[in-house]
Amino acid sequence: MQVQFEHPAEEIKHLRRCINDLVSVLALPAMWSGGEPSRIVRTLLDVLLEMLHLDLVYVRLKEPTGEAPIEMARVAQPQSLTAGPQQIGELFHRCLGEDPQNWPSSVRNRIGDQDISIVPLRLGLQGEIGFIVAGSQRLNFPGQTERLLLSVAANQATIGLQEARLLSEQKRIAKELDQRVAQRTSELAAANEELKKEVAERRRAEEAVRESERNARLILDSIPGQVATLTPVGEVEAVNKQLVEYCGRPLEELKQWGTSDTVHPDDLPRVIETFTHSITSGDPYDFETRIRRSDGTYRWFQVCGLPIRHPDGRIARWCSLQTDIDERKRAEQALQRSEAFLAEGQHLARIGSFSWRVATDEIAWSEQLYRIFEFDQGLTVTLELIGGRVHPEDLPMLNDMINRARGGFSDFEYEHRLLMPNRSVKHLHLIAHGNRNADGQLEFIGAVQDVTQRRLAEEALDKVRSELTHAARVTSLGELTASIAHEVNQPLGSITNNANACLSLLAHGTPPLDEIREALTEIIQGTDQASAVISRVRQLVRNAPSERTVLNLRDVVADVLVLARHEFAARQVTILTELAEDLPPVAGDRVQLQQVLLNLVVNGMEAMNATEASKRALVIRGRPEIRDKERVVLLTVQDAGMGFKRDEMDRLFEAFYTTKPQGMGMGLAISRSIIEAHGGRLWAETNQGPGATFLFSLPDAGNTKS
Amino acid sequence: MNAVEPIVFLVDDDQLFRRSTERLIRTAGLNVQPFSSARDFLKSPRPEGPACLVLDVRMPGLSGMDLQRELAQSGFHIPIIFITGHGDIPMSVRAMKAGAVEFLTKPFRSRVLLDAIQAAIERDRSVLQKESETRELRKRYEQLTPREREVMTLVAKGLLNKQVAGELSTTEATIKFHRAHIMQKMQANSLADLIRMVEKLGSSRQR
Repeated sequence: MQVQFEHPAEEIKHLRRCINDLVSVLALPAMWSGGEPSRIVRTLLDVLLEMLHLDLVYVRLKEPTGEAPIEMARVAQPQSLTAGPQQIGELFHRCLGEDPQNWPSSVRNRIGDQDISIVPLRLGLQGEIGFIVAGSQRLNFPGQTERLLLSVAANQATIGLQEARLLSEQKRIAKELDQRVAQRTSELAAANEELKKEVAERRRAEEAVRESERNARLILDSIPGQVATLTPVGEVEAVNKQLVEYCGRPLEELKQWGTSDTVHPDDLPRVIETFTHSITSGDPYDFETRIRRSDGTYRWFQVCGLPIRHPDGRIARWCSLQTDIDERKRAEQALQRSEAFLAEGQHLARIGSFSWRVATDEIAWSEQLYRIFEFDQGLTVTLELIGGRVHPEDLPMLNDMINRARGGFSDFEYEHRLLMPNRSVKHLHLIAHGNRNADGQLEFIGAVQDVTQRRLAEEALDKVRSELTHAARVTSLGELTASIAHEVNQPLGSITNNANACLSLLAHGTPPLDEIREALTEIIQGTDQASAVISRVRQLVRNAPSERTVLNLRDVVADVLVLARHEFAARQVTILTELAEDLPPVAGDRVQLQQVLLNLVVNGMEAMNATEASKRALVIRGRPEIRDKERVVLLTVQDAGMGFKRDEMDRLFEAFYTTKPQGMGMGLAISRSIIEAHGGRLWAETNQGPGATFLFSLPDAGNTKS
Repeated sequence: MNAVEPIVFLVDDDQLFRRSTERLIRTAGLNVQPFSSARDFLKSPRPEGPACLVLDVRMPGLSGMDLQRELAQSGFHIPIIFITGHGDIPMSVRAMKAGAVEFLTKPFRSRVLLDAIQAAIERDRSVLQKESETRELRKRYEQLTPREREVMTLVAKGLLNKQVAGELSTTEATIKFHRAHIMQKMQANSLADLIRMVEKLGSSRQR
């Protein structure tokens, strides 16, 4: 709307005022500089209200941060408008519409009880900062200058607010920057501290490295091995002290090992080949060779070399370690020799050895044991496999042994047989001892000997011995034939007589029954007597296997005297026995002991052939005794014959030594072997008077009484 | 003398055998007297009538052979039947030489023993008979004068009276006289009878 001035002076005045106002408005930003947006708005409202004589002015600022907008209102006459800024804002929005772009430049509206012209002004091109609404009751509001002022004021406000915002933003950024600087500073300080520590650490580490290097050198020079480094092409680069001292040659000479006598000439071609292969292929090497010591002797070394590589895989150098294995090598050679000896020895002695881990049933056999069992070498040995070869009759014994081994029993010695596929039998003698090995497992180590030959020889020897003993017994009996015949014929004659007497008695008209009964009773007695003698003789003649029983020597004496009784009579020898009442029992073969006593008795009788008849006496004594702290039963046979000379004593018991024309000279030798087999002794003594005494002692088999 | 019963003596140390033998002999109807040792037998009185001895060869103490020897030395000529459990030839020869009538080895048949006993008793009986006849002849012989004994000896040799007279430097008549006395004193019925008597006397003198 155009303001019409009637007078130019008026107009000039108006214009001047207008320019003043404009200058005031333009000066506003300077006032606002550094100020808060709320202060800017407040001064703007005050200025506009006063400058343009407005009734009401309202500002709304959008907060860029999305917070609630700042609203502010000024009213010329507060009593005419009591509404608050927000209500006023809402009122304007109703008048103007929602979209600021489509707002009218001015609008007349009723606010409260007054009509008021309203002019909205956007702050910022798109109203992004907010807006100002000015209102006046005047109808000509806004005039041209007023609109200009308003728009300039709005622009200035926009600038001021933007600056304020910028300023606040700057302040915020500066503050943030400060904070960041402070934080970074503290971080840097911490980092610095860390760095200091690191530096100190590194210094220590370097010190440690130097120490370690010193140590490494020390170690290198004191390890019990010789160390050398070589270039990638295999040239000796450096060696440790030991190597130099061992070889007694400086590094320069050692470099020439390939052409010198450092390596044993016999080993050299092989060593060079191995070494060259490793150098060209890059594979580690490991070989054994003899290296010359400074004194000219060669000792065995194990030489190991490893390539040390750059990160890219190229070989930087070779590191070589030479370990003196001379002792080990000699031990190995000795062991090999000893193993060879052992194998030969086992083969020769038919002894095999084995080990058996009880927990795992791992069994290891020597070669010879495979040969003994006739299994293929290297066949995996199991208890089942062994069980298959063991003689079925001995299998329970084997199983018992295995069970006892599992039960912790640790020592075994026994004999068992094998039944081979061709039905032949082998006799084995086994000795095993259980030990905890390094792992704490029970392991048996044992030896097995094939004693078949020995066993067969023993059996043959036993047989021959038994036959000889038997022959001697029969011979002894032969000397008593007359006595024995008498002993049998006596009851037989009696039986015949009685039987014939009975026949005669029965021929009587009234047979005397009592007499007949008596005769028959005597027949039975005679039969018993004859059969008792015959059974004694049969025992002696029979070639039965030796059988041990607990017996009393009294019975043996009685047996012999029955057979020899009539021989005594015929030879007019008086026989006396003095056997202790408490004669303890002995363990033995009755027949063999009879044989011994028979032999001594017959010898005694024959020794008295030349003795005057009235002085022919044979005394048999028996009594318990303590000999060499052992309880024994002593039996002595004393004759009154020709005796023997002292120098004959030892020969008496030799085989084939005899003083009798028909004698075999085996009696005493066999008697002694019988007594010794019974754990006793047989010897002879010369008497104080005429004759000799033969004595034997046997271990007391009774309850030991102290 | 003929009224005296024959008797069998039995000496054996084995009780069982002795009893059975005793029973056997007794059952055969003979008198038997057992002894368990030779000594016991020697202490017993000698028999009047015919007898025999059944003797075990081997015995403790005095053996059968010893006893035989002792009996012979003491002039007790009883027939002996040896029995043994085990006889050997040298032993039996020795025994038989010493006058044993039999040597039996046990076990023997009872009949053999009884027959031997019977034979021994008969033999003893005849010995006793001869001995008593000899005793009678000797009694008659002792009644002869020394001259008659000379004449009888020559006559028994078969000499004629004249030869005897020539031998004794006397007459034939004297010899005839002596001869008649001799025939009377000797109770001889004939010359043959007298010759037999002289033989008996001669043999008994030899024993």
